[in-house]
Amino acid sequence: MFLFIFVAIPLIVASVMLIIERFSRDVLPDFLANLCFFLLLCASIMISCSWPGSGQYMHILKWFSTNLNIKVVLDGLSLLMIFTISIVSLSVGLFSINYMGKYGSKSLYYAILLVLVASMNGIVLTADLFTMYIFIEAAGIASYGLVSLGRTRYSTEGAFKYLVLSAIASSFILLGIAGVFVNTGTTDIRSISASGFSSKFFIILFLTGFSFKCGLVPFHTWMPDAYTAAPAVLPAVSSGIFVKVAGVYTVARIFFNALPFSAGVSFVMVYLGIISIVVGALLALGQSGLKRLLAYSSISQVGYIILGIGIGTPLGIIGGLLHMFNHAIFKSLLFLNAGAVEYTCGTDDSLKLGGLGKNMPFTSTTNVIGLLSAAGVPPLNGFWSKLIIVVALFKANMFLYGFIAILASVLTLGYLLLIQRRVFFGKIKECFENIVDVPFWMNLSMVGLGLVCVWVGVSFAPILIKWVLPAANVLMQGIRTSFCALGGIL
Amino acid sequence: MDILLLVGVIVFVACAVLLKDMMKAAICLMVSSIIMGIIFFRLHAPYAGVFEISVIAGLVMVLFIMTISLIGGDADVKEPPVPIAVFIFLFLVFSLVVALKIPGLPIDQSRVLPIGSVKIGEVLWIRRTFDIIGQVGVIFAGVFVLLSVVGARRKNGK
Amino acid sequence: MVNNALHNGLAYTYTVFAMLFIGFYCIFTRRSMIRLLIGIEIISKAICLFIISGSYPQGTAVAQVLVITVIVIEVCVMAVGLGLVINAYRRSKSIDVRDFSNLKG
Repeated sequence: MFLFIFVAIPLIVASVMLIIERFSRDVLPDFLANLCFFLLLCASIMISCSWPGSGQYMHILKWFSTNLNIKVVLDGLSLLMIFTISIVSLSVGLFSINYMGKYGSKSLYYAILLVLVASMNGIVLTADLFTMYIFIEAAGIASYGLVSLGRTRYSTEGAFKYLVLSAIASSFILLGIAGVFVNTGTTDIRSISASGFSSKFFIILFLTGFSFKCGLVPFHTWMPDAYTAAPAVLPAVSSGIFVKVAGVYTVARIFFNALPFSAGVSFVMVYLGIISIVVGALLALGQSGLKRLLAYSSISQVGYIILGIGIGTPLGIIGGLLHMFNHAIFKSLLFLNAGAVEYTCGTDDSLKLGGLGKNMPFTSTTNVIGLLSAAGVPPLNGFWSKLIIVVALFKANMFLYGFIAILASVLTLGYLLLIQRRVFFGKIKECFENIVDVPFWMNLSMVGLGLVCVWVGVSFAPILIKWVLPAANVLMQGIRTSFCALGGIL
Repeated sequence: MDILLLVGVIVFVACAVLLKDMMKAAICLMVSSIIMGIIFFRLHAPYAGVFEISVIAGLVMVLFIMTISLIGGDADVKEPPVPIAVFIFLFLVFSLVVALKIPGLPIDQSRVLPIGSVKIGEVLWIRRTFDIIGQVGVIFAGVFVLLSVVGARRKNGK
Repeated sequence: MVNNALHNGLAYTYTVFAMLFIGFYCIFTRRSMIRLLIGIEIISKAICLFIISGSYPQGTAVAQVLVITVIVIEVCVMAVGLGLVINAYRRSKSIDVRDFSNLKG
């Protein structure tokens, strides 16, 4: 029963949200939604504390004396994702107390956000491929809705373009799942790996479909448009957790636990990762809009994650998973900062802004923490994960890719520092001289994420041992069984 | 008989894509859904067939026709004047590629599936209950998003 | 599918791929927003046919459940897409995707 609350409670609160709108427009929806997120965070911390380190929890619910079979499975990888989802969703929930006040119906927004969080929890808590697909679609529909809530001229167009491209990707994924089902008679992950099915055609279908969801090059075109057209909370949730849950987590599940992990898959993942890192960093250089630049930066950082996981060695997987967690934290922080700037100044074009650091000290400081983390500067959290990925690359004799990763990190530092200088330091423009600082809840959520960045960076061993290592073990089990035949890279 | 139905589906789907008038295209799609439902019935999948007919040929088509009527004359966007011959040519090339590659695809193995003597209700509600929760999530998402996109304009809405 | 129990198995596979081709052709070469949604619909019909014909006759209970769920998901996606079409039309009186000039990709 306990694990099912991750999916059930957000859905129940979402359905109640519309009813309570009659009674209270602002306070009650805020309170209920954030209470729900806080409860989920506490629940995930409680589960992590009592986690034995390996194995899986499987809950089979029985209701009203019928044998309903809701099989909720939690293993190391799912635990890492649940923890990440709860932290980021709580921060975004707190942020939107003030931020979404200008956007119309807040309870409707919270309802969509709660369905999104419930679907993401559903993706990571199931052991069945088709259930995963259903929740990916549910979360996708919620994302289209959040994009169209933006107040720019092209929100609806951005949402529609995102819908069409995402539907194409989902059809690839569904075709792959259908192919696996037709060939093995089941969609359960354990049974698929037991039957040993593997086929190049369906592997290519899966990789294409999930690369769309991740935003890997050359399937990244939806990301900048959708993120600029949306209110800043959507990129924080989407790039922070949804891209990783629907893209990276599912790729890891399918290619490490369901289908055998061959050297070909590893090569393709490494290759896609490197190309995304380079193209994302280069495309980010010329951007002046904050959200657009951060979208290209996300493409680059997701490339790091796929690169780390695709190497296939234990060190690479640990680096990739740790970077997944770190990126969720610092990228959400950066997007929330962009949202704060947009809230006070009405624009996120860095050429029109300047010198905001005096009036918005918390935003400016947390932005510095976020960008240093993104660039991999010690002692923040990004440094450790990038270091582990680079060391894993060198140990696997991919020296060229290691150097490219380091260079891209320097590029990241370059363009993010440029934005920081333009927006927060320097002389303030006359039209913005009288702006006030952002309200309390927005500051609280940004400072909270910044503190998590610093804490993970300074004492990253507990995070590593408690969450990342069990997750890596789950993936390594898949590799051990398939690399034995190839005399692998271990 | 089966081949006739399959050819019918392909023809009507192609008409739905190539016809210029939007209403006629929607009606062609509806007819192809009905034929698809009949194909499902003949493949011993009656529930899927009735769902296909009632939901897609019914509900989705009603939504389409409502939208097309709401938009009115502007629905017929001027398409680029690509002749149908290009489509037929590409289709033939594609058929050739598929005809060469199909035998090599792993679409069938001599697999041993458990003989399905379970009822569909038991599979849906008892064996795959999490799917129902997923469908509830999808429906909630759809309803809330539709409310926010098309819903009644509020006092400080856009 | 060269499936012993299914006569004309190859014909079903061919139909699936033909419908997939037509669906992708529709999405990539048409300019009206509604036609893009028709293309998505065609692709999901093709996948439903694939699921049902590929698991004939043994696994039809599970296959039917999968197809029913896929149809439900498609309905929701279509509904949201059509809602966005109506919203776009209200805003700018045009449903031509080439008018999305603000989106550069």
